[in-house]
Amino acid sequence: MGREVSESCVDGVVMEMVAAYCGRFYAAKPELAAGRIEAIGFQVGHQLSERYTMERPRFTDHLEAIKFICKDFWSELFKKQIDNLKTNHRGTFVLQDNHFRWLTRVSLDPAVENTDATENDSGSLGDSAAQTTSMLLYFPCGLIRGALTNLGIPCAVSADMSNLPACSFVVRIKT
Amino acid sequence: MPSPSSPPRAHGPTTSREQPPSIRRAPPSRCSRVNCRPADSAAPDQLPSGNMIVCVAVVGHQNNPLYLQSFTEADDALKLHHVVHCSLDVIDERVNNPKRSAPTLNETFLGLLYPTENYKVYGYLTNTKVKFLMVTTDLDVKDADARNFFRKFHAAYVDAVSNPFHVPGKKIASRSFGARVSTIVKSFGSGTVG
Repeated sequence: MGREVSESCVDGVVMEMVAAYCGRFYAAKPELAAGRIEAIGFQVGHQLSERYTMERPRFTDHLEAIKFICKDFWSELFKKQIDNLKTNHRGTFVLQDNHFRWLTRVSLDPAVENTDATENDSGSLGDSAAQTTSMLLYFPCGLIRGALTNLGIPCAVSADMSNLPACSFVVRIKT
Repeated sequence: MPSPSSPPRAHGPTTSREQPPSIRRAPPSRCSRVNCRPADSAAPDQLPSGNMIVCVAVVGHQNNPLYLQSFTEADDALKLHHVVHCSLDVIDERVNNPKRSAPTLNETFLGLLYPTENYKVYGYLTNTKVKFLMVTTDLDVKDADARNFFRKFHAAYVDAVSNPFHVPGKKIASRSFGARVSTIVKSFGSGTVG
């Protein structure tokens, strides 16, 4: 698949932002760094949702807004739609992306993974690698939360990644 | 006394009589000449009549004013703000009792909200529950014109709130937004036709 320069730039900016907040500004407090990155995502999502909903009629219910996120919003951002949407019909939605663009260039260092598997003592090393990767997901979480909040749906969004390029976002709507 | 509002009212019908809809759809060259002449020749005293929109407003989702601007020389800003304020209730009513406006259900353009003897108020409600209001003295506005106006107005708003220095929920202080809105307001009824 073709890859545009601007896309690589966005990748670079996201990674550098995460690195800057985690490694320099709030090196000692990862929760604070996560909060800050999420807040940036929130603002961006807030603004983008205003722009991308400009030409469409108002949404009648939550599902319609979530579908908008899955289809149009995601297409605008990542040139693809969310692959799978699940819901319990009680305010929880799971948005699964099997090939999340911002994670396609991320890989865990195999050396770290191997030591992690063999030696239990260095488990913290593997943890920190996973933590670094999960830091990358606070920004998209904020994007989703910002967009939905602007559409009048207050919610909490968390991300989960099991095997790397795939990840899922869990949206819990606050009632 | 209706003295502040009577000049635009007196001019409004005359300009519309001079340009009935059939003439407005005339070839663009003629159309623009007809519309430009009053603004070029007698700008100072005829400005209010060419400027058919007297007030525009952007109101946030908690009914907090984000932008409020009147375009009259007369000292009736308070009156216009009152009209805008009253229209907010009409929007709430429309949105909460959608049965009455079934054909336009969930459309962003809400149409004519609040006709008074001197003004007509048009409304627009975005997906993000931001309300746009426009008060006009022109008593025969075409829906398409109003729609077109709100589309441009909304685009200007989106660009203004995308400014990273804009704080969401606060008043829009951007000067370029103000300039852009007044351009849109000025083009209403003249530039949009044809």
